[in-house]
Amino acid sequence: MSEKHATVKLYWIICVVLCLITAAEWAVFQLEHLRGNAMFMIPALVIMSIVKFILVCGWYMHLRYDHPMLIKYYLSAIFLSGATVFALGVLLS
Amino acid sequence: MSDSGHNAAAHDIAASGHADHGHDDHGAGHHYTVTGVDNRKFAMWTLIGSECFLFGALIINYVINSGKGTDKLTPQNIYNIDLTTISTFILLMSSVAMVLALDACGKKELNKFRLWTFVVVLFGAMFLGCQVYEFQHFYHLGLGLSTNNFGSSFYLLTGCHGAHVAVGVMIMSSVLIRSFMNPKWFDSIVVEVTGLYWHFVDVIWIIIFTVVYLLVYVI
Repeated sequence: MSEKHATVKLYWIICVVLCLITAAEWAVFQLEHLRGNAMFMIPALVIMSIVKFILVCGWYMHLRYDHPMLIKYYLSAIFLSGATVFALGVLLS
Repeated sequence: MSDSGHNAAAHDIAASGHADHGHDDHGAGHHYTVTGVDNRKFAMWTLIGSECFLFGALIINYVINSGKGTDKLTPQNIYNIDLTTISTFILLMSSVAMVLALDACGKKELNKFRLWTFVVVLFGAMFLGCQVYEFQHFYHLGLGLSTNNFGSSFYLLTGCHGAHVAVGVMIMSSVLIRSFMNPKWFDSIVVEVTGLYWHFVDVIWIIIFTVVYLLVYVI
């Protein structure tokens, strides 16, 4: 196959970054004065989660190197499920 | 790219894929669709897309019901974030083992492939062990499946995710056993498709860890 994949070294670098982000999430959570600060905690946790999501999907799931159609396919599913979840949230809450 | 370009590319990939893999095609020629994407990979992405809806619905169900616990049995009182962080590390490490297994499969390095596949199975089992411990702990605290809305939504979401991990462990175990039964077996597409499933389970846990375990303390 002509597909390119990341190198083993890059896989390990991503692994270290993912572990560091998880450690940062845990560390931020341990700080009592930050835990109650929703204005800081919500964006910080969401951004860290999104970065982890992109790293796993882009490199470990090879979306960065795979057929562009698969990215559109996946994003469509995420968008549609997100819209459904939003609608369910509004309807049920 | 034009349609003819796509078809030509698909034909090239199909031809090279057939030559490279040399696995059982059941006499149907090749597994490639007109898009140039292997139909097994496309099927897995379709499954992953549908799973987004499933887990999306379960997560919003949890978000709505997480505040509907009794005084003592609330997320803030019973969650053990240290244990959940360790579970997250374990699942992340299993993901890197998965890509290393795929890399070894592509390079036809049998021993490395077996080693990393075993690591995936081991870490998956460890993650399940942590989840069983957590469920048992919560149950002893008095939080059962039907205790309150929080318990029902929590067990439904994390239990469904755990079931997906269990299925992944079984699939990876079968891949490992197959590598021992037939040492010349190297079907990188099968390993890649299995890997896609495994990484998706990891991605779902990334969301669950943030939304279910961490944000619930803040909101």
